[in-house]
Amino acid sequence: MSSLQYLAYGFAHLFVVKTLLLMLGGVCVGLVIGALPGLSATMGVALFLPITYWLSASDSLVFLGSLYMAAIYGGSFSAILLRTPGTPSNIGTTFDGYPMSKQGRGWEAILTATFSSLYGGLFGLFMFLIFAPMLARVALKFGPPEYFWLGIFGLTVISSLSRGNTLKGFIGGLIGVLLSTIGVAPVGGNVRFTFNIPELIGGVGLIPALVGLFCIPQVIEMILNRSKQQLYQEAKVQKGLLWKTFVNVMKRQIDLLRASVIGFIIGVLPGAGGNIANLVAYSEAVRASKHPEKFGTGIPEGVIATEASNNAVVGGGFVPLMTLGVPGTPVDAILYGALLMQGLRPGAELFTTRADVVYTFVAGVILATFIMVPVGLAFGRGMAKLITKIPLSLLAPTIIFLTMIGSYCVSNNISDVYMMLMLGLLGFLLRKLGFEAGPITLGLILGPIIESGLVQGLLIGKKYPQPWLIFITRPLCWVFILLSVFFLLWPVIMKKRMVIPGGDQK
Amino acid sequence: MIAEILTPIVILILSVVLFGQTTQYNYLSAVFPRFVLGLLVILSVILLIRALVLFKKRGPSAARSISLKDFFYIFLVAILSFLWVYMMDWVLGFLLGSIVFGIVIFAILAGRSLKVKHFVLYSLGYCAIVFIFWYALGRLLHVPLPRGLFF
Repeated sequence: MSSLQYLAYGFAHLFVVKTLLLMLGGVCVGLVIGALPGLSATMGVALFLPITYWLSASDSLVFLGSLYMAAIYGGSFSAILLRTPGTPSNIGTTFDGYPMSKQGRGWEAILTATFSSLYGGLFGLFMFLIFAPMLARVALKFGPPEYFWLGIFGLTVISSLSRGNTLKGFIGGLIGVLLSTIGVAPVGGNVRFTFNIPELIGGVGLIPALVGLFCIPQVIEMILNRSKQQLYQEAKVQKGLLWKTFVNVMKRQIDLLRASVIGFIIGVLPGAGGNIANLVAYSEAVRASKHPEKFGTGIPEGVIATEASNNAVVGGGFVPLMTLGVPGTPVDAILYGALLMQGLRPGAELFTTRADVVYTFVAGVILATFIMVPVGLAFGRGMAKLITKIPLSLLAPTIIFLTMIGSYCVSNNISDVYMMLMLGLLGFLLRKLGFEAGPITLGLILGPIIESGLVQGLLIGKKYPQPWLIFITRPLCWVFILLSVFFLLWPVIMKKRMVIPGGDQK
Repeated sequence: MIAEILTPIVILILSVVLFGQTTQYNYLSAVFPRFVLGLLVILSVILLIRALVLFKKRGPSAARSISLKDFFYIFLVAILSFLWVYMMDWVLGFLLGSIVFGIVIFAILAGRSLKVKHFVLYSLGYCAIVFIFWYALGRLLHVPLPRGLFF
């Protein structure tokens, strides 16, 4: 079957009451999580991942994909109305979205964010449909040395794109890789770093680690901010503005396209997510504008840039996840866990062995992108107002409860809950010391890929005078080596290019 | 600033200790951890040198630290969370354990900032969430949830 036929199959598979309800549920949950400041899309997907264990592979992925896309969009509501980005992907939306609200143009800002998100989301997913099968065909030629360098490349990118400190990003990634070595060695068979704790023989569970590292530090932040109140900016619905804003947004094809391309490319890069894409797209919009001084005062171009780019990241991130088994964004790291939980191995073979699941998933997210528009416009403002009334002191135990379910339900093992709590506390401590959860979790995922590549490569390399020569004598290896070197220099390039309101460079 | 210096030292010591452990493994089991630990040693030395240079340049800086009161709350919630899991598994069961500990943590964090009426209302909302999950997972999907002595 061709890609288009698979996609048609995917769409046909969606029109079942259960799947449609799951999609709607995913969109609603995603909007709430996205709109709640402090709860990121990553955390939302991590919290609901284990609950999807009992669903079929495609239903589970459709639910999580819908939640992901809607959470990124939902974050714009609190960014526009509360000046608090709902997710890190909406930081840039506050720059112009909130000033628009203050000027009484909140509804226009919401509509602009909605149509830009729709455009960016669809752009990213269609680009996925074009590029993913091509990359999957190339990835089928990979052997262990290529996978070794692919893992190293992923580690280089996640570290160099980590916020603030490149060196700490690297170390964080390596800590994650080291965590992945706990337990039985995949090739040598020795039991490593367990310190005679039997629960560690099976290794660090990916799902408890993801839930703990992403959710528990956030709960602790809530404890620290428990007495803070949000300031809500009212956005009244204005008749006739819907069509007018739609036309205005669609007129700015260059802005939409630029932001969506940036979002897609940043999504494809392992480890980089919407948090980086929205700021890069914003700074590029400022750079390309004839009136850069107007950015930050409440102009739709700023909202278009950030919202189109952060939703385009979704499709971009699926490319390396589905074709190489390397997560494009932190949320994709969780989706990686979802695929494993369903017995699917992310990577090139997924396209050949379970293309039906892949295309149903993408078709589901495309449909969810359309569904989130009416749902968001109908309930988004109300939700943003409502969430200002939920005290953080209640949210904290509720999230602890959800993290406990999340880590327990994967293998019905209470020691996973203890592991999750301990890793969560470690995650908070590391975050305070400047080591973000993103590189650590991605290191945890990339670790086994790099280890298998290294050890199997060394075994195959015995035919060379020196076994390690196999890692530098294959052309595809050099592609990844050069890419790794390029991304080691990336922070320097970024530092020179990023512009945010206020005239400062960041 | 002290934390900036101590962090690489701790990573360095841990890396060396773990590197020592790898001598007990066969070559195929040890080669990758050694590669990672070697990199960690190099990077933590660089981090340490950088922190020392910054310390010399700027002197000790006032880092943004957590207040003692906030630290107490974090510590209390962490202890209660571990106790929650333990009691849920052995004594109270999933439903009762989650309701009791969730509301206790809510009460501690809310302090006196909430009116009793609001506190009761929110607690009921929380109980409803717990009940929905308990019913959906335990009764509908037959997930073997921790039972304790109750349910």
